[in-house]
Amino acid sequence: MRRLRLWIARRLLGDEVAKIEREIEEEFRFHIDMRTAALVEAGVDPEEARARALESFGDADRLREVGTRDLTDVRARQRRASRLAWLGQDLRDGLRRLGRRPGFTLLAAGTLALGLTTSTAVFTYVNAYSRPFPGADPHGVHQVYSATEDVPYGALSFPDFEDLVETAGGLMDVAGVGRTLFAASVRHEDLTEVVFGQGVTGDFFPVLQVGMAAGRGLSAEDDLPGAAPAVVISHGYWVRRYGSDPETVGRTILLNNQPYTIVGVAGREFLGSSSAFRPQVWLPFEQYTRVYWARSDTRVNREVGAIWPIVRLTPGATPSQAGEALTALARGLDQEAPLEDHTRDFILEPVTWISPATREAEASTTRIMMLAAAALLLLACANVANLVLSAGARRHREMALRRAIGASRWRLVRQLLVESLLLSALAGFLALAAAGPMGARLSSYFARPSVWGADVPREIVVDPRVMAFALVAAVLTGILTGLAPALRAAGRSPARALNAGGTWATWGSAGRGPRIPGTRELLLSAQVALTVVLLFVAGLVLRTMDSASRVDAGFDVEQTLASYVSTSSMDVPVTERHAFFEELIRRFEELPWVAAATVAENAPLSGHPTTELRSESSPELVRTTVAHVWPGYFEVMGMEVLRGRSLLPTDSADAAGVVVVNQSLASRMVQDGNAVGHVLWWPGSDGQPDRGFDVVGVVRNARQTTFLDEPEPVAYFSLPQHYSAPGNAFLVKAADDPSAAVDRIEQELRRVDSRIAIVNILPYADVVRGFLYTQRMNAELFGVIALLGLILSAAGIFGVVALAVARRRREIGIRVAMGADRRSTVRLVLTTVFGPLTVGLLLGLAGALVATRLVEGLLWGVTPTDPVALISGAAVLLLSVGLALYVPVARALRVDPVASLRAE
Amino acid sequence: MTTERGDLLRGTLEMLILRSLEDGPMHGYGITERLQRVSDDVLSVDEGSLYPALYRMQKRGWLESRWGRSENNRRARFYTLTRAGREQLEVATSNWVRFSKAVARALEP
Repeated sequence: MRRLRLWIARRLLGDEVAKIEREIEEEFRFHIDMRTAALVEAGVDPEEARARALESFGDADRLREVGTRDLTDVRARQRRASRLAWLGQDLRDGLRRLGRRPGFTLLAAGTLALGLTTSTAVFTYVNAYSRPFPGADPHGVHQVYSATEDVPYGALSFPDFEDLVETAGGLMDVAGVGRTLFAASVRHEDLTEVVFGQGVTGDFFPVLQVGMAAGRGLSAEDDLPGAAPAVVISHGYWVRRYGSDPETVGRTILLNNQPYTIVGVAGREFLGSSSAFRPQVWLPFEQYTRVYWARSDTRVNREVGAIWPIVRLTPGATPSQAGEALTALARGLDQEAPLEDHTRDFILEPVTWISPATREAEASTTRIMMLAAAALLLLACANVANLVLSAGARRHREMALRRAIGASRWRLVRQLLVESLLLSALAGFLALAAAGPMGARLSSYFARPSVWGADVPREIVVDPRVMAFALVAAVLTGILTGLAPALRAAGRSPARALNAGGTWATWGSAGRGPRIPGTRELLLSAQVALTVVLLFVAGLVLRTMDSASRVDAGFDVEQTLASYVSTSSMDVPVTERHAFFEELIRRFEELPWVAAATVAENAPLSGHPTTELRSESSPELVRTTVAHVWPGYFEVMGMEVLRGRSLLPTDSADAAGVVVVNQSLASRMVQDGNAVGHVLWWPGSDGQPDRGFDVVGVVRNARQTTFLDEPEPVAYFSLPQHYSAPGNAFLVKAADDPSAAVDRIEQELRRVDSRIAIVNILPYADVVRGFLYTQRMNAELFGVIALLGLILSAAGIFGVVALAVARRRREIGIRVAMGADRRSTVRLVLTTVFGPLTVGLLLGLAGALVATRLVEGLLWGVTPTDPVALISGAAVLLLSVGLALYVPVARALRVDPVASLRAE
Repeated sequence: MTTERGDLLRGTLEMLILRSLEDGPMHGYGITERLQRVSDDVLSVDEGSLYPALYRMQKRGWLESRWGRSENNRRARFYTLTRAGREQLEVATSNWVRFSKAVARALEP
C-alpha cells in the first residue's frame, strides 16, 4: 500500500519526490559526518568512528522510504495551502483590474448576463417539469399511472384503484384524485357562481400531509358512505369569497343546491395536485361519485380511467419494490378481470406537479428552447472572448512585462481565467435575479383564455437546482470566455511582444506571409454561424405563428361569444330544461345588441364527448365527436349547410330522430360525401337496441374541439330530442362590438334569474388566441433570442472592424496619400471581415440544415425549408451586417493622411 | 523504539524533541547531542527513531523544516516548532508530569 502510494506520487510529482529523496540523503550524510567527527575527536579511530556512525542508523533504506512518504504528504499539504493563498491574491488582483476598467467590465458582464439569463430562465422553465406540487410533503411521494400504447400516463379505473388500495398495505399509502375537475354552482346570498372542484379519497389529505390554513383536511371518515357532507375550500377561494374570515370553517356552502359543511381551508401554497387544475373545492370521493357518476357505470367499469392514484412509500420501502408490487397487481387483475383490448401496465413515477404526459408532449419544444438558449450563451461567450482579446491587445505589454520579470505562464493564464470567471460570476448573479421574472413570463402563456375560464399559469420557482445550474453555467462560461485569450496571451514570447510595441494582432494584413485564421476570426465566424441558425429558427416559428393565426375556424369567430350557464342552483325540473333554454334564446334575440343566440351541449372549441357510430352503408365504426345543438345553431354560427337541410324547430322531442353530419363524417359514411338519406346508428348500451338517426343534412367542416387540428368527423344532433344537462353552452352573436357584449350578457342573465350560474363569458376571438399560446410563446422566445444574437454578433463585427481600422490608420493614410481611391480603401477594410463572415454564413447554413429536423415539432402549416423564413432571415442578417460595417468603413474613408502620419 | 538504557514511551520521544526545539531551530544531529547532554547521557536516542519521528511530526504540523547553515558552515536541515507544536508540548508536558507523579506515588513504600 505504502509502496503503491509512493509509486503514484513519484509518477505524479516526479521531480518533487526525487528532490525530497536527495534532501533526506543529504540530511543523513550530514548527521553521519558530524557523528564521525565527534567520535574521532573523542579519540576513536576514524575508520571505526565512521562504522559506528553508520551502524546507529540501522536500516537506512527503510528510514529513507518512511521519510519520503511523510515528507511527500507534507509537501502536498503545503502546496494546497499556498494554492489557496494564491487564489485569494488572484481574486483580489482580478477585482482590482476589472474595477479599473468599468466600461469594459459592464459591457462584458452585461453580454454574458444576456446569455446566462436566457439559459437560466429556460432551465427554470424546464426544471418545473420535475418539481412536486407545492403545499404538501413530497417525501417518498409517487404517482401511479396506467400505461397503454396510446396513453402512456393514463388514469386507473375505479375498481382497479380499489384493488390497488387493498393490496398496497405495508408498502405504500394510497390516495386518489378524480381524473377531471367538476364544475358546481355555488349559491351565495347575493350571487351564484360556478366553482371547480376535485374529488379526493379520504386518505388524500392525511397521506400527502397537505398544509391547512384553517380547520382540518378531509378524513377517511368523511369519505364513508352516509357521512355528513364535508368540503375543503382553497385558500384563494377563501380570500376572494369569504374575505379570509376565520369563522368560515363550520359554515355551510350550497354546491348545486346541496348543503356541505366547510371543514377546512387548504394552505396558501397548496393549489391542487396537478398544475393543469386549480380546484376551489375538494369533495370526499364518495360524495363526488354519488353526484357526478350517478348517470354512468364508472364506479364499476374497469375500462374507464377515472382516478389518479398518488402514493407515499412507507419508510424503508423502495420504488423498485413498489414497482414490482404494481406489476404483480396488474398481472393478477389481468387474470381475474381481463380488459377488452389490452393488458394492464401500472407504472410508478416520482410525483410531479406538471404531468409526465405534458412533459413529453412538450419535450420537442423544450429541447429546442434549451438548444437556442445554449446557442445564445455560446454566442455571448464568443463575443466576450473577442472583447477580452481586443482589450488584451492593449494589455499585452503588461502581460509581457510580467512574464519578463518572472511570472510563470501558468500564473498569467490563471489571472486571465480568474478575471473572466469574475465577469461570469457577476453575470450569473444578474441571471439568477432575472430568471424568476423571465420564467414567470414564459409560464404566463399557460394562463390562456378558454371556454371554461382562464387556465392557470405554471408555477415557476428558482430552487436550489436552478441555482446550481446558474453556478455551473457561469463557471463554464467563465472558462469558455477566458481560455482562448488566456492561452493566447500566455503563449507569446515576451521579447517579441515587447519589441512589437504592443501591436500583436496582425491578422488580415496583406502580404506578410501566409494568412492563418486567428482566434478572433474564428470567434467571429462562430458568432455569425450561430446567429444564422437562430434567425432561421426564429423565422420558422414566426411564420408558424402567422399561418396558425390565419386558420379558418369554419364558423363566425369575429362576432360570436361563448358562455356556459347552468340551472343547477335553480329549481328547474329536468323536463323543463329544454323550455328554459328555449326561452333564454327568445329573450336574448329580442335585445337590440344581440344579432342571434343559440344553445349547444358543449361550446365549439371546447372538449366534446366522442363515440363510435355506425352507418348502414359501411360496417366500419367511425370515432365521431358528438354535438347536441339547438335548431338554428348553424345559422347563428354562420356554418353553411352544403346538402339537405339544417336542423329545424320541428326536430323536437316527439319527432323522428335526425342528425346533421359534417363533411368529414359524410365522406367516411359514403364515397361521394352525400350522406343525406342515410341512417346513422347510435350503439345501444346494456343490451338496448341501436338507435337510428336519419341524416338530414351535411354541413361545412368547422373546428369543433381544438383550433389547430384538422376537422374530425362530427355529428350534430338536435338537442331537444335528447337529455339536457342542467347546464349548456349559450352562444351569442353580437350586433356590434363583441367585447362590449360580455358585461351586457352577464347582466341580462342575472336578470333572468339571480341564481343562474355562469362559468365564463368571452368573445371567440379570445378563445382562438388561447389556442395559439404555444405558438405565441415560441414566437416571442425564439424571436427575442434571435434578436439578441443578432445584436451581439453585429456588435462583434463592428468591434473587430473598428479595431482593424484604428490599427491601420497609418497604412490607410499612406495609401490615400499615394492616391488610392475610396473604393480600394473600402475593399481594404472589408477584406478583414470578408473571410470570417463567409465562413460563418456557410457554417450557419449547415447548422440550419441540422436544425430543421429539430424544429419540425414546433412548426404548424410551415415546412422547415420555408423560403419566406429563409430569405427574410438572410435579409435581416445582411442588413445588420451592413449597419455594423457602415460606421467603421465611414471612419476609414475620413482618414486624413497628414494627421494619421503625424500621429505616429 | 529502544534506547540502550530502556524503553522510551512513544509519545515521550516526541515530547523530548519538542522540548529541545523550544529554545530555537536545531538540526537532527543537534537534537541527539542536546538530549544526551541535558540527560547526563541517560537518554540516548538512536537515529532510526529520531528521523521518522521528525518526519511524522512535520506531517502532523508540529514542526517545520528549512535548510540553513550549520555551525561548521555545512548545509543542514533545521527544524522549528510551529504554534501547534508549542501547544502539543504543553499538553504532553502536563500529561507527563501527572503520569510521573502517579508512578512515583505508586512506587512509594
